Amino acid sequence: MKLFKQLLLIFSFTLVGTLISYLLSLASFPFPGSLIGMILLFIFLLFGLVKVDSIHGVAQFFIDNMGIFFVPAAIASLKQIEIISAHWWKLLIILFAAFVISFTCTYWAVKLTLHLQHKGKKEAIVEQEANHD
Amino acid sequence: MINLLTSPLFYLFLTIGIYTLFAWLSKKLHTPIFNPLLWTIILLSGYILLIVFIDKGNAMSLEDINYAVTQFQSSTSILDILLGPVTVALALPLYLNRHVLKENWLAILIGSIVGVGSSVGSVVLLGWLLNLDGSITLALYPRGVTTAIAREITTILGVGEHTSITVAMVVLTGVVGALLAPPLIKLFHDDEDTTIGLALGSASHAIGTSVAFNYSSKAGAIASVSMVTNGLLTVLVAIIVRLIIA
Repeated sequence: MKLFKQLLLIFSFTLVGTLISYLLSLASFPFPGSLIGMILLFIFLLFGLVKVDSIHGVAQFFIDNMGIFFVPAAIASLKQIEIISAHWWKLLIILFAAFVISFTCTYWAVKLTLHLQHKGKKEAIVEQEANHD
Repeated sequence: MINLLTSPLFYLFLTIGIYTLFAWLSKKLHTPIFNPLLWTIILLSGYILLIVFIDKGNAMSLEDINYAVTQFQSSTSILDILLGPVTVALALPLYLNRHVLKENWLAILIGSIVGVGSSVGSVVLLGWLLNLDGSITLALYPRGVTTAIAREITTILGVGEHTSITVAMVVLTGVVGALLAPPLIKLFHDDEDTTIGLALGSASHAIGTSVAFNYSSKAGAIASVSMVTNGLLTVLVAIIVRLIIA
C-alpha cells in the first residue's frame, strides 16, 4: 500500500509534467515533460507541500537502480548496427576526447571560481579590519 | 525451447538477474569496470545475437536481428515506461542536497556553463574534424548528460531515430569517466570536494556521481546536483539549437 501510494504520487507529477509539456509544445517550446515533473516535485518539496517521506522509498529505489531502466533503450542500438559499425572509430575518438576535454575544462573553471571567491572574501575581511583601525 | 528462451518473463529475468549480479560485484570489488548497466548491455546483446544465430544459423539477416530486438523491447517495456517517473525522482537528491546547492551556487553555475559548453563544443569540433554525419553529431550533443535527460534532448533536436546510439554513448561516457577521472584528479594534484564533484557530475553524470561519493559525501552531493543542472542547461542549449536550425 505504502509503495503504491508513493508510486502514484511520483506518477502524478510525471503526468502533470507531460501535460504541461504538451501545452508548451503547442506554443512550439519543446521542454521535456519528465523534467517539468522533476522541477515541480522539487518546488513542492521545498515548500513542504509534499513531505519527503511520502516519496522517499520509491524515489530512492529509482535513483539507486537508475541504470536498469535504460537497458531497453541501449539494446535498441543493435538495430543501428550498420551505422555504428560504419563510424565506430570516430565514435570511439569522440567518446574519449570529449570526456577528457569537458572534465578538464569544468575542473579548472570551478577551481578558478573558488580561488577568486576565496580571494574576494579574504580582501573583504582585510578591508573590514582596516576600517576598524 | 526457443519460445521459452525468448519469452517476456525470461527476458525480464535475465535483465534483472545480470544487472543485480554486476551491481553486487561492483559494490563488492569497488571497481567501475563491473558497471552493471554496461555489462547488462554487452551480455544481453550477445544473448540476443546468439538466439538469432541458433534459430537461423548462417542465414541470419539484419531483419532477423531487428525482429529479435523488437521482441526484447516489448518484453521489457515496463522499464522503458518507468523512465519518466525515474527522471522525476531526480528531484529527491536535488532536495536532500539543497544546502549544498545554496552554498555553492556560483561554482555550480559556472561549472555547469563551462561543462555544457566544453562538452557540446568538443562534440561539434570533433564531429567536424572527423567529418561525421551531421545527424549523428547532433545525436552526440547530450553524450555527457544523464541518460533520462539525454533521451529527451535527441527528441528536441529532431534526431529521435538515433536515440539508441545516444544512450549507448552516454553509458560508455559514464564508464570512461569512472576509469579516467581518478588518474586525471591525481594529475591535477588537488582534492577539493567542490571541484572533484562538479567535474565528475558534469562530465560523466550518474556513474561519475557514484565515483564522487567514493571521495567524500560532499563531493557526491555536489556531483548529483551538477548532474541535474548540467542536464537542464543542455536542454536549454538544445532548444536554442533547434530554434536556430528550424
